[in-house]
Amino acid sequence: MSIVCFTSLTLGYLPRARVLAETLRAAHPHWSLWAVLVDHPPPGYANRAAFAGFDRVLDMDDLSIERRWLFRHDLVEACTAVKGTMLRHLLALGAETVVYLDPDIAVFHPLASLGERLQSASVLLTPHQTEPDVDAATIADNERASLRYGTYNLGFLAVRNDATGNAFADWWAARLHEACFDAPEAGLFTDQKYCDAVPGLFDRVGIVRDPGWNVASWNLSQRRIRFGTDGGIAVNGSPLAFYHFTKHGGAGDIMTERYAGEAHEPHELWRWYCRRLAAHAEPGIPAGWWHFSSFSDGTKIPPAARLLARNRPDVMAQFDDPFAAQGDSLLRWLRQNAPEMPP
Amino acid sequence: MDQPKPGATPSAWAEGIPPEHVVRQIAAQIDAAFYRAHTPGLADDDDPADHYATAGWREGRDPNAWFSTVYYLRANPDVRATGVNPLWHYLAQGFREGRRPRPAGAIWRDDLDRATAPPSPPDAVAAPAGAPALGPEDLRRLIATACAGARGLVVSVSHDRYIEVPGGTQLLIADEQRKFNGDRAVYLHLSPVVPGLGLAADGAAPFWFNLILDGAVRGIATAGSVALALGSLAAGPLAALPRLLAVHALHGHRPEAIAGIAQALRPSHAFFWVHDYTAACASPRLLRNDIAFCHAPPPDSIACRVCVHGPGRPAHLTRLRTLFAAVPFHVVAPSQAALDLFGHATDLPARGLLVHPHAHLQPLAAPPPAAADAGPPRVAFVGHAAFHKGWTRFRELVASLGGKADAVFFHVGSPSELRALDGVTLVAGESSATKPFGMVRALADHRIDLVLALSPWPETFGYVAHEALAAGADLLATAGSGHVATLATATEGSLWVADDAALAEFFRSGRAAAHVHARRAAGRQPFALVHSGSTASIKLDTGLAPTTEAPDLHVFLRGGRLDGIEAAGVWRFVLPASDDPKRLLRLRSRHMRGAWDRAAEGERRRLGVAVAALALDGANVPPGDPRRVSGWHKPEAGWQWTDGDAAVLLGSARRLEITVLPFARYWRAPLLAAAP
Repeated sequence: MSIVCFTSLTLGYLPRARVLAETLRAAHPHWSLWAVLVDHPPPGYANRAAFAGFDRVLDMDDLSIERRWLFRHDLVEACTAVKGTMLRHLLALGAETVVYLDPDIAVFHPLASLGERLQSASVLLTPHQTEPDVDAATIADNERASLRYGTYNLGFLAVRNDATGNAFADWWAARLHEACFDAPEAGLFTDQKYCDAVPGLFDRVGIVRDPGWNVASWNLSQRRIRFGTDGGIAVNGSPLAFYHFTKHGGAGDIMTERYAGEAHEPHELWRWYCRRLAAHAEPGIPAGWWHFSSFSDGTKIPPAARLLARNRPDVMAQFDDPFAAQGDSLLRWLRQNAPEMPP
Repeated sequence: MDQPKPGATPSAWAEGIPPEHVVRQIAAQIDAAFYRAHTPGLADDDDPADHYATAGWREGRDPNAWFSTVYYLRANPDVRATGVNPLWHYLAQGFREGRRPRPAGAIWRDDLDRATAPPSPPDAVAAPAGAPALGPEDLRRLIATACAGARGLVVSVSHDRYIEVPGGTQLLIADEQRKFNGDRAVYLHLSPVVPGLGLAADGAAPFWFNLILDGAVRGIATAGSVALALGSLAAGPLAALPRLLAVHALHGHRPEAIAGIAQALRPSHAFFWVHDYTAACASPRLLRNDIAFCHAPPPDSIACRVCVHGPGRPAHLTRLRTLFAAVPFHVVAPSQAALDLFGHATDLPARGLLVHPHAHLQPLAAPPPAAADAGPPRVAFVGHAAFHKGWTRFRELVASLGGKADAVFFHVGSPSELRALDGVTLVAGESSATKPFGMVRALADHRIDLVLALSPWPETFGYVAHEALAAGADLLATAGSGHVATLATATEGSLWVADDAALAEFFRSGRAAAHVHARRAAGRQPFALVHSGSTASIKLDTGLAPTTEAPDLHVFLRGGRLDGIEAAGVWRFVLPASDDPKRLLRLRSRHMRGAWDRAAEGERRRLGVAVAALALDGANVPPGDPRRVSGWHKPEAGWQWTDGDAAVLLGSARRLEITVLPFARYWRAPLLAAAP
């Protein structure tokens, strides 16, 4: 069975993606690992070994992604919006199974049951939570956040290359192409919220409730991590397949602190992840780098400009490249017509 | 002003709250003594609550031992954003929302955050000032001189200059040295000049050893020089002399250098002591990320991957395998539990495996009953205030009891080990080569009832636990502390609890007090701590006991050793002719040290043989006679002790008769007696 795993990232997430690559390689040396790079490097940056852990790296040209479409998205939206296109691309290339993993995931033990699960399912999803929480604050942090942002965490997805898998991929890619936005008030949250509908829309959808899959701060309240005498790591008795180090260095630190409680094991993993990120640091990439965060003259693109790009096709139609800053540009239009937007 | 309603957003709080309201709300939770101790420069008339409310929290100061200002603000950005006093927020709302007043895992947190693989100690590039650097020829001469007439040569290896550092391992090495010396073997000890927690890198630069010969610092030398000297002696003048190698610790050492020493020395037996698990990992106590016992999983396991010591472990194991391939070690552990774990944790080839305790507890006659002390239990933590000794568990236990326990807590240790802690009395006490029972004495003097043995790793022996029992205390051990837990289980009156919660409950429930009062009333079994001499008492298959009444008395003249004939305690020696009126002989024998037997702890002398009579050519040479030149203790009624190497002015005498009283039982190292 040919299994292709891919991730989607900007260069700021390169250290994370490298940790994913090294840990996935250790657990699944025969999987093919691809990346979609939704970014361009800073001027002068040239590290040919930057993606040494990956078999293939595709950029937006490889996926025929238009700059005008890309302009509608902020960083997280852009990285998630391309996932549907990439999934279709890999299925079209003939991969028997396509697995998506977020770049901030690290794999520990093999996803041993994947093949068996895909015998009876064409799409696999992991819920954020698989056990009810008890106290109000935890429910607010976890269950209610899932109700708002999506039941299933799209840091993981596995799709089998069959009729149902392709039907799902076509549907998902289409939705993401249309509206992959962080807009919970509109019922949207990037690529994730759509997937609440997947078990209803499609047959053969497998919900993976294995506590060792996709462990993260949002389910840590109900997952007990233990190191075994054999050196393995188990979560509620199941091997830890993959841990999602979500929002490392920010809110993830706080939520892990909150839900790991007195257990040292999550903190050991968190510290290990810090060390691996440091080991994989990429000095040529400035902190917070994303090529598509700015117009071509370096002016930051304000969120309101992204909204305008979604809502005013008439305006956007006037400009071939919305990122351009010279001449008759969107930036100039914004400065003249919406002076509160660009700095 | 009304108290803010629970559930109000923090941003609603910050507006218009008078500072005096905040001070009033938090004042009861400010530990004034704690705050003053951590706020240098706070004037006596400054109110700590006032100071914390106006300045202290903004400076990151903590109001008491249980609330971390910096942590609370870091973990709760919503609170930080409002600018409200964090302690006030916690008291009024945070605790109800399940927010933590300080980081979770106080027992292990700091150690996890600090955990790193120990760096290799740097190569010593120059000899330290004041220590003579000895070349191969100096060393050869020094060792050959010491070995003249000796019964054997022992080379021992550990991590520091054991005669200068208090501690269990150091003490055991000192005991081993003295017992080998008592059997008239020469004891050469090698420790790294540059100390380190891990192995020293195998570099091109010379590796420097500190040299201690028979308990005296003699200087430093490179591993190459030591190997040259030992190789030359082993092939030459010491070829027939029994030679042993004992490796007690590898921290800071270059295993390749030890292999070189072994190959030069060609010992009849080499021993690798399992004082810890350095043979299995660079984390000598097998603490994953320095905080959790790991059971020594396979080096390619996930656990090793996420441990700070994991990445270096394969190379570490390769170096150990090379050492064990070069040296046919007997692996010797001080407990069965340690040997079992060694066997599980390593695949090193060994010439043999054996269990050999460092000491045992000899039951003594119970003292006459005395009125039981009705005071609260006296509970001690002993030794280094470190995680791997269980210090943080002790600290958190005391903090969690919050002064409400019916117990008095002590920390007993060497002055550099003691840590100030609210509610804990500090007591200086330590054992060392010169005061082997110092800790036993300190615990006994302070009438300690319970010694907490809280090591989070399986201790191989638990010397402190033995000291505690010898001091008349009971042990309270936690599960997972290895031989310490075994000892606590096997000793009447000692206890074992499963975990920290059970430990705290033992005190909170009053069971601690009940136990101690019952034990005081019943009277405890007293024990003497009897040191075995470690390598000095290993028998292997010799069948020899490690003690003997035979003094191995002989005379040593310039021309060499002369053995006498003994009958009914009278030793007769026939001496070669000489017309040298200043001719001296040395009267050599096994010797012993009373200080290592607690029953004779006051006896500081080195005792050889008790000589009742000494005659030259039939004429008595009485005590006090100037011909008893040196090495004689003060005469006693009917005899005079030698120190094991006494000089007698012989002149031209041809016959020597010595009457020896059978007062002594000597240490005999079975392996020296049995060696060819």
